[in-house]
Amino acid sequence: MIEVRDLWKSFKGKQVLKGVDLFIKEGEIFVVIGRSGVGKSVLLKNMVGLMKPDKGKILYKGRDLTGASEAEWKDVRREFAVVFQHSALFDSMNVGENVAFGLKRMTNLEEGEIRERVKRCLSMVGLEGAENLRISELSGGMQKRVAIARAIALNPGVIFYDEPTTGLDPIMSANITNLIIKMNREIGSTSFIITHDLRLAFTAGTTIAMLHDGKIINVGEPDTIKKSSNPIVRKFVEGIPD
Amino acid sequence: MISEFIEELGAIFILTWKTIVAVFNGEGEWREILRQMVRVGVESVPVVTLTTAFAGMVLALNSYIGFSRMGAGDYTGSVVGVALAKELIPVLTGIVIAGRVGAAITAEIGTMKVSEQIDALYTLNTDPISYLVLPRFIASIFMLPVLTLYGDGIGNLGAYFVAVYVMKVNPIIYNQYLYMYLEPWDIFTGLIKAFSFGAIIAAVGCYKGLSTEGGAEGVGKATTSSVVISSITILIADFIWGKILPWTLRG
Repeated sequence: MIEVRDLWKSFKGKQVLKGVDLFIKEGEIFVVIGRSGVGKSVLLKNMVGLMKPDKGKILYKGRDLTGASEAEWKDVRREFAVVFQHSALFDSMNVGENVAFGLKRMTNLEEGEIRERVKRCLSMVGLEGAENLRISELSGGMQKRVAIARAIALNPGVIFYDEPTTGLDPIMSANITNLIIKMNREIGSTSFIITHDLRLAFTAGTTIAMLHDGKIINVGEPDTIKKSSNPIVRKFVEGIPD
Repeated sequence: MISEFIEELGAIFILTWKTIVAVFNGEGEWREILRQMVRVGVESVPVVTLTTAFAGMVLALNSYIGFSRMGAGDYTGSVVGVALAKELIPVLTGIVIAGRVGAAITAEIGTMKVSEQIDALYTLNTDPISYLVLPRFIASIFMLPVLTLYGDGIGNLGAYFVAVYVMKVNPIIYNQYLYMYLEPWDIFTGLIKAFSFGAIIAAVGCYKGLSTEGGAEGVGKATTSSVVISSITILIADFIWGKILPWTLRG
């Protein structure tokens, strides 16, 4: 469904991605793990068109997105949704307006239909009746759930999650992990997650890839990664200090 | 330092151009534009009132002292009226609004940038220029002249109060010279300047917000820089208007 071929990206002379290759199948939960600062967020931002790669290709359903114009990206983004690391909710709006934002701008739905869709999405993430709450009134976990509701509102083909459990307590992390799995099953979208939370990776992931020094050094099912003989993967998975 | 300043001015000019193109493409939402007009205009009335009233008062006071040494104290009204309308009120209003509104624009957009809300806008197929910059730009270019016109009135009231009630200038003579020497062009010149200052404040404020990097520290730096660049650019623009445009030299 999504293919990344030999992707390179640098910033001010520093090479962050050094030829990343990935293949994400339709309907799966693909997780990229790796230490902080290895370029996981850069990879995600390249994949959703927020950054332009220096070299390489990104293909979505066989369509080459490398060098795509803004108009072409607008078309593709109708099928993409992103859940950002710090939720990135618009704090000048309430919860309902946040969830409705994309629906108002990217669909021709009537006001009543939008209200219904917002209600349904909030219900799916366990926030029934939260439409009128201000963003500042929400806990970190609730903000993540609103961000997921905003993402699923447009029935996306792919949901990208950037460190979805960062800054949450273990119980809330587990709740968000279960929510990601539930969303994947209920709306049937493909999920792409970048994280260093191994519990999330091994619980939710159907395929896990490890990014290290700008390259993917290991890809496989969770059990394959757990039993990997690669010393860098083992060190990360077992949490061995430097 | 100078090359950085010129580079930034270039980037600000490009952002302004993109915003103007968005305006002519009919982008932007009226509700948001009106909301920004209230923020820029209505909410700035108290600070503009205080600033322009005292500017008028102090100008009248010093003008009277200077003129009375030459036995021309009665001419205070004419000089004060022209100076306020052409120079002081537009520039002071511009600088005050740069501090109040320009800083707020940068802080708000800068916070959105560092908290990935700008990225979120892109992923929701929303162009930050039409959604964020355009309403602030339109609000600023239209509300600055309105505030300046209001400031002209308040500044002249302050000047009248000091000249007539403190320095004991004859009120009839004060008004006679004011109306004799203050031309509509003087007021109009001030309004043209205010229009351009509004564009400067919005363009600089939005550019600095959109180019913010880092966390809270980055937002703080961007906000400070926004006010400094806006204020300097307003003064440069005021000089250019005064020097190049022939009608500003009338009277």
